[in-house]
Amino acid sequence: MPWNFPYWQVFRFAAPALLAGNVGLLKHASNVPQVALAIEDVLSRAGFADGVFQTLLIASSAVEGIVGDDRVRAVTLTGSEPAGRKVGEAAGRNIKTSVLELGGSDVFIVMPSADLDAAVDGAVTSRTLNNGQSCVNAKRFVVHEDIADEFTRRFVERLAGLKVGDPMDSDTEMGPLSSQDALETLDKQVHDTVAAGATLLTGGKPLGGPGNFYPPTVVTDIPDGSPGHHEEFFGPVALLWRVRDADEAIRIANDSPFGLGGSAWTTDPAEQQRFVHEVETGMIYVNKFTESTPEVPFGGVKNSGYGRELASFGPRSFVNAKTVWIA
Amino acid sequence: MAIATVNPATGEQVRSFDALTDAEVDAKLSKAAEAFREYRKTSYAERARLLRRAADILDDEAEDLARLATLEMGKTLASAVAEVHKSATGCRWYADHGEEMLADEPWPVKSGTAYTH
Repeated sequence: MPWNFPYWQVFRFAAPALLAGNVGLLKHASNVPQVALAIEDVLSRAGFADGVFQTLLIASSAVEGIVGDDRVRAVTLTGSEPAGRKVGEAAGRNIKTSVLELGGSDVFIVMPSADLDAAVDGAVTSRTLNNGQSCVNAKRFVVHEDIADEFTRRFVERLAGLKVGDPMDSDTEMGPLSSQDALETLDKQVHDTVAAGATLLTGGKPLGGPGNFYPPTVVTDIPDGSPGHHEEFFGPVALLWRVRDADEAIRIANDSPFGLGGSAWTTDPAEQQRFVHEVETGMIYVNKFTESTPEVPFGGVKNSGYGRELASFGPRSFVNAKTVWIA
Repeated sequence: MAIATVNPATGEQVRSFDALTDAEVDAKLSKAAEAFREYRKTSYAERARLLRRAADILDDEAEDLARLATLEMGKTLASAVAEVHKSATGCRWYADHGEEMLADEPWPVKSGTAYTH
C-alpha cells in the first residue's frame, strides 16, 4: 500500500475485507514502517485474533514470491504503474484475483457556465491536497478560452500564496514531498517540460535547504511529447491547457495513458452529460473534485488499473461468489 | 529502498528497520492461514463489533497516529488527523453496511432455489 494516505489506503481495503471474513497481510511502502506497525497494533488491540491482520516489513522484491504462495489467494495494490505491472503479472501467473489502483493524471475541465469561485477553490484544493501527492489530485487543467485568463490569474495567485513549510505547524498549508527521490523526479519532469517549450507561470524550482520542499507550480503551453503531456506529476504542479470548446476539452482529457478520475465544472446540463459519457475514466465528478469515500466505488480504467474498491465492491472483491442451486 | 522513517521536512533518518527474513515471512503466512480457519467462521456481528472497536481506537488516538504519518511522509498534521478519523469512519461504515452487501443474491430458476452466496 502506498505512503500517500498511509492510514486510509490500508483501511479502505482492510475494513471491507475483514468484515467479509478475510484475513490480511500488509506490505506497506518502505518509508512508512511506523504507520504500518501502528495499524497492525490498532487492529490487534481492537480484538482481532492473532494472525488476522499482520504487517510484513519486507522489500518490494519479496512480494512476488508471497503472491505466488499457495496460502495467499488474492492481492490488491494501490501504488505506481510499475509496481502495478509487477504485482498484476505475479497474480496473473498464479491465477489469483487482483485489484490494482494505480496512477492518474486527472483532468479538471472548466467551462464558461461554471461558478468560477467554486471552480478556482476546487482547483487549488484538488491540486495541492496531500502536498499534491494523491492519485486523484487534479493534475491537468483544461479551461475554456472565454474564462481562461480570469481563471488562470486567480488560480496562479492563490497557489503562489500558499504557505509551504513544516507540516507539524498548524498554519502550514502545504508540506514537503515525501522523499528526496520524489523531489528529484518532479523537478526533472518540470524542467524537461519547460525545456521542450512550455511556459512556467509560477514556481518551477525546489525551494532548497533541508527537506524536500517544492513550491506550487503552474505550467502551460505544454508541447506534445514532453513529460507534461503524458506523465503523472506527483507533486503540486498544475498542467494547464486552454481550449475552444467541449470537443477539444474531451480530446485532451482522453489524450492520456491514464483513466482514473476527473472533474468537469459546468452548469449546462447538455455539457455535463457529454463529459459524463465521453471522458474515459473510472470516475467523473461534476462541479465537485474527485475524492475517495466509502459510500461510492473507486477505481480507474486504462493504465490506472482495474477493479474497484469501496462501496459494495470492497467486501465483494475478495470473496468466492458461490453459485448454489438446491433442487 | 531501505525500510526506514526519514523525516521529509528535514531529510533526517529517524529510525530504520530490518526486513523480515524468509523464515519469518513464512511463519507469518502460516499464522495468517491458520487464523483464517477460525476467523471465517465468526459472525458478521462479531466482525462489525471489532471494526467499531478499531474505529474508537483510531478516533481516540488520532493525534498520536497522525503525528507518525506527518513524520514519515510529510502531510500536514491537520490533514493526517483528518485521515485517521476518515479511516475510523470507513471501519464504522462497513460495520453498519457490510453485511447487507454480502447478502445472498437470488436467481430466477424454473425449479428449486438458486442464489449466489
